[in-house]
Amino acid sequence: MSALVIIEWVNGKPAAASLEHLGAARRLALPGPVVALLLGAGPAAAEILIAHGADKIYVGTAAEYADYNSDIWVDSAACVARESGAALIVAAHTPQGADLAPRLAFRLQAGCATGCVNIENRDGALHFTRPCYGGNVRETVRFNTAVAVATLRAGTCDALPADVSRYGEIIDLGAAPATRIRRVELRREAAGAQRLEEARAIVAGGRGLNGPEGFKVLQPLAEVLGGAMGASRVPCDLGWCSHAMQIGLTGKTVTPDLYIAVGISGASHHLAGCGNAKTIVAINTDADAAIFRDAKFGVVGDYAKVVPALTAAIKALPPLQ
Amino acid sequence: MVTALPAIVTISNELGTPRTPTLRETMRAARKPVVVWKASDVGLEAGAVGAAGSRTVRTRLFAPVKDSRCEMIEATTPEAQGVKLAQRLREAKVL
Repeated sequence: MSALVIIEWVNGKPAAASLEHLGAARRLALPGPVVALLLGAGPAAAEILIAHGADKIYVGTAAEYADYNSDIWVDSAACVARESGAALIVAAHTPQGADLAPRLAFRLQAGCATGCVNIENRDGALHFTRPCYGGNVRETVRFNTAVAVATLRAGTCDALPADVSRYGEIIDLGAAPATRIRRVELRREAAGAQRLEEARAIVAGGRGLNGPEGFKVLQPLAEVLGGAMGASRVPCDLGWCSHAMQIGLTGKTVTPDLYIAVGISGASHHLAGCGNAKTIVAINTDADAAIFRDAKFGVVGDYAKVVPALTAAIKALPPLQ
Repeated sequence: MVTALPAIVTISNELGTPRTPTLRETMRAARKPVVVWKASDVGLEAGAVGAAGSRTVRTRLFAPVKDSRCEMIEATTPEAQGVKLAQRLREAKVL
């Protein structure tokens, strides 16, 4: 009855969400250990996972583990899940996790809940809560299977503080399993772009930007916040910005501390991707825009004037004590 | 990536543009046969499909309570609104 957390390893460190998931796994207090699967990083990297709550770490260091591969990840995760007697397997709610979870669940004859915002251990069963119907409603589900697979959204639970005195076991997986998928080309998205899923602040633009130039107005604000740029569906479809920036039901799901929606009306399809942000700020010329119902702060006005003034004012703020 | 067929792929909305069907195509589509398979046609027991066969049991369906008090930032000019927003975000410890 262990809990297995599939770690996402990004730019030489575990994704913040993966550390949160180790914390979530510990808090569920299943009878067994908290197990982590770390593919594509060395055993030394496992120490940080132990410090954040993992008891046992399976590490895949073979060259084939360097990048995500559906076949290899599913095989390895299924093998580790069986060996460690996992009752719960948690992956991050990212394109990679959403690819892995259903295949893994099918392989293990397990139930599967993607996009969860909470997992609870109550009345002897695991309960999974997630947004449904385009984010307007939430549902809680449980499974009548021995094993459950879930993807958990970033920013929905807290990581445990690092405790370097913790002890853990590290097991090397050895050679990678076979795959039927071969990568022929790898192209990077715009260099230096921050992963939207990891960004603590996001400035997103919508139809109300009135053209691709609008993103140039948002860029300095994103920079001063140390955040990333996003978009609703319309500007992506119109070619004003990259589809990789799309946030919403058909785009990415983000949970930053601060989400600034500029010229975004706030359709439920967009809010499905950003509604769990801690603070939403809306800037829109339409005082009746739906986004103001979800926002904590609202500005009715022309973004082309409001945003540069906001950017300059943030730059001028005295540093926090 | 390359793989052998059969394969299942999911695609994002970046791929292709949907075409608008013409009236003739719509009429032709309406005449296409629609084949309906029952569970028994594909070799499944009645208990293996639908709610009875589902591994998932929904225990609760609810609308999350929204803390929907939006503080509107008012000022005489858009520039002043921007400055005031920065101040309010600092006061609210968001920045």
